[in-house]
Amino acid sequence: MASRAAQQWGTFARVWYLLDANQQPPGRIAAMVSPILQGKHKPIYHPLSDVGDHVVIINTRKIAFSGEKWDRKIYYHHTGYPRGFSATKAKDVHLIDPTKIVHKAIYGMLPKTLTRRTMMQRLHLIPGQTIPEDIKANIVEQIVAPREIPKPLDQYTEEELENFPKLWHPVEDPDLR
Amino acid sequence: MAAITCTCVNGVRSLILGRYIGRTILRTPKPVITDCPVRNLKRWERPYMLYLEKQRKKHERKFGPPPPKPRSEHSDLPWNYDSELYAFARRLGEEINEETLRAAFTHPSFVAGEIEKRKELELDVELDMQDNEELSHIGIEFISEYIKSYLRHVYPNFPDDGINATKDHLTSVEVSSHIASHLGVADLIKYPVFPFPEDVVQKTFFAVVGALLQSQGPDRTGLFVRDFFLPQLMGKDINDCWELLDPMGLLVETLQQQGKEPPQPRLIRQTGSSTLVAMYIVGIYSDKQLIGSAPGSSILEAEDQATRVALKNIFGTNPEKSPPLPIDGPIGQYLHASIVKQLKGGDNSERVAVSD
Repeated sequence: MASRAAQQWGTFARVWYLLDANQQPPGRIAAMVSPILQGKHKPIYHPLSDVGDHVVIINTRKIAFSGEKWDRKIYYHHTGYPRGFSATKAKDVHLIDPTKIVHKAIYGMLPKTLTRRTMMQRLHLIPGQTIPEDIKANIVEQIVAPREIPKPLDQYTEEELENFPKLWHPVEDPDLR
Repeated sequence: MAAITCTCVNGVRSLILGRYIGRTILRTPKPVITDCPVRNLKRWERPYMLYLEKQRKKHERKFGPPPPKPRSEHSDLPWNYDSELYAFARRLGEEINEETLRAAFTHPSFVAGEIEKRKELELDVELDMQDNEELSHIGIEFISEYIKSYLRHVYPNFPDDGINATKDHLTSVEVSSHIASHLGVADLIKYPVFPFPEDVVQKTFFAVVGALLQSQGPDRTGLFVRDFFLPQLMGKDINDCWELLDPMGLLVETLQQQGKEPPQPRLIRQTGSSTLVAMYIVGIYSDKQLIGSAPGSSILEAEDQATRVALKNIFGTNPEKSPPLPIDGPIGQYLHASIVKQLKGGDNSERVAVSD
């Protein structure tokens, strides 16, 4: 094997992952990313050894809450000062800062220790598609997104639409019901 | 040194009584060391012992620690050189000619010193003392040949330079004197100055091996070398003994000799290229087959490491992939027998001969 120094360098090297958040639920993204930031996917893991990896999440603007969460989910915040309480809907938070929802989701899933802030520093959130050059140079692996994106209707070919199994055939004459 | 292993309440007493009381500071007659009392602990004993210890420490702080003394001059130790010599040989499980052994421990400068003393005292200068010069040469030659032959048998593809480097490491001053001190060789050396320099210990150790060779022959001496020198390689990567400055050149040469394709380094993996803690993994390919890969903090470093790994794999000395040294067991015994046979001068096969 290589020298001990080289082996150690290879063992403790930090890997940069990429995750596309397009049409993904932010909670499930957070559940996947949180162990990577902690380093729990590594056999050398220990909560006190700083062995987490970097995760770059692109298209955070395109996240997709299921159900009616955009209207129903409220993010509460109190500034600590009198009359400092605010309750904001998810859609409004998303308009103000398109990375905040993913940020809060991941932050809430990390262990509530002093190392949490360090792990969050290794999370890089990009609202769109354009990744800065220096971060792009580092990325080596991709995390498979949790949700399989369903194909929109306009992307189906004529042949596929025709051959798709039907439950019932529409009646031609609507008066004969 | 009496009662030093006493673990009772009067531990402090044991510490002091052996060495420093009496003679050096208080000039009282040597106290009688009895076994520690379990009952009848006198009220004055502890404060007295603590006071003595304090005095000793004060003395040591002022005048420094006491100078080291050879074992023969330790107080409370009845030292009989002849019995110690006999015991040394028996302890190793060997029977060595007494005269040869005595000569083995005598350094030439000691003989010179004795002659000087005799001249001063105007005595007869004819001294019947033999020194260990010749014996040490015989010893080191045998040790080198045995080690080289052993390594050649165990690592048939390892180049001669590597084997010689490993042999040099094992017979170096540090390693030899380390083994010798732990066998008790250092206590029996006859040399004018104490503490003995490490190369004197090394020379004496080689002379002891030479004495053993003359008394018992290559078989027993070979077992001695095998049992004391070769275990120093356990847990050690033997490639580290060999300082390679141009691994890529050697790899190209080796592959050429084996009739294989020249090596092609390729970047296999990398991470964090724009950071300070970038990591690159380079693999060396010969004829599209991976022969070695290693990580590094830069591409050049990774390539260098990968070349060294490739060389280790080709030579069969990769510690992760090669079995432990066969020192004991049926393989070890057979190996020892073949080495002794070769050393006795029968075997002329090129494969096992190692040139210097």
